[in-house]
Amino acid sequence: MLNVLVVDDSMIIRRNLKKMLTELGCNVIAEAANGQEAIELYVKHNPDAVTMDITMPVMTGIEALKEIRKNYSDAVIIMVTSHGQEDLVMDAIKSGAKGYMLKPINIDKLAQVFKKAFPNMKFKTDEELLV
Amino acid sequence: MQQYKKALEAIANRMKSFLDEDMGIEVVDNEISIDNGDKFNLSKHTAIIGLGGEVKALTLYSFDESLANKLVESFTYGEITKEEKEELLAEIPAEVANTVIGNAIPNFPNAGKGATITPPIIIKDAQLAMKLKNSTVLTAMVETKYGNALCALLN
Repeated sequence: MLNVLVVDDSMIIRRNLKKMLTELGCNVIAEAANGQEAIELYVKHNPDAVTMDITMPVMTGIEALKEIRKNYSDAVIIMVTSHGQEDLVMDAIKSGAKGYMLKPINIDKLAQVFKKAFPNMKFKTDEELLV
Repeated sequence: MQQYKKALEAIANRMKSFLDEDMGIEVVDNEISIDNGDKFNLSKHTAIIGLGGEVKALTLYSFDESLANKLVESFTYGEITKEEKEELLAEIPAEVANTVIGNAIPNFPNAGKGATITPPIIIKDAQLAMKLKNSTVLTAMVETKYGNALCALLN
């Protein structure tokens, strides 16, 4: 089971991601509301994956991504943002993000991006959830 | 003025498609018109996001009570408990505003290159009419089956 750190300043998004990730068979190990908290919780929990918002108060997701990747070069960080500007996507990918998901989020988009980041992992798909 | 109008058109059009296509909330008037004035009314479900880059402005998003309630239902994943409902209702304008403006950026002037947005600020329980002098004030209304969503741009 993957341990996931969810980072977003929106309570609704953290809640939605937690419920969706749990349905996919992941364990949400911790939640952070800004980049600074994300770094602290990453060090504390060493999660298998992080979902990271970009526009947040205190410290942005891109800054937190760069900081985490400095010390943990194999960190799997998936950016989750509403910002559709291509340059921002490129910046995140160049800085080491393993994936990028544009809001609004749904469980299919989430499953797709996690399957791509962890090709050898099994996730509960819709069909499996219906059984 | 033209660049502000183009930015608000992009925001209002994305608001329309977000409500209609992503949230399944029927938009009753397909025409989006941009109005230029110096005052507008805000409901108690309002969020503000600052916009930087080529178009520098404050953007406001205000939702009628019944639409805000419907958005909580449509936007929130899974079952909503009674305890969660109030908190979700307070946060929904901010998250919808953030999604809409972020998604709209590629349709801004110059394809939104260099555009930045601030985290949203929620205006809690502040039903008010804003009247501004010496400012660019553009508004657009998206009308749905559950009430209206106002998008405004101030500079």
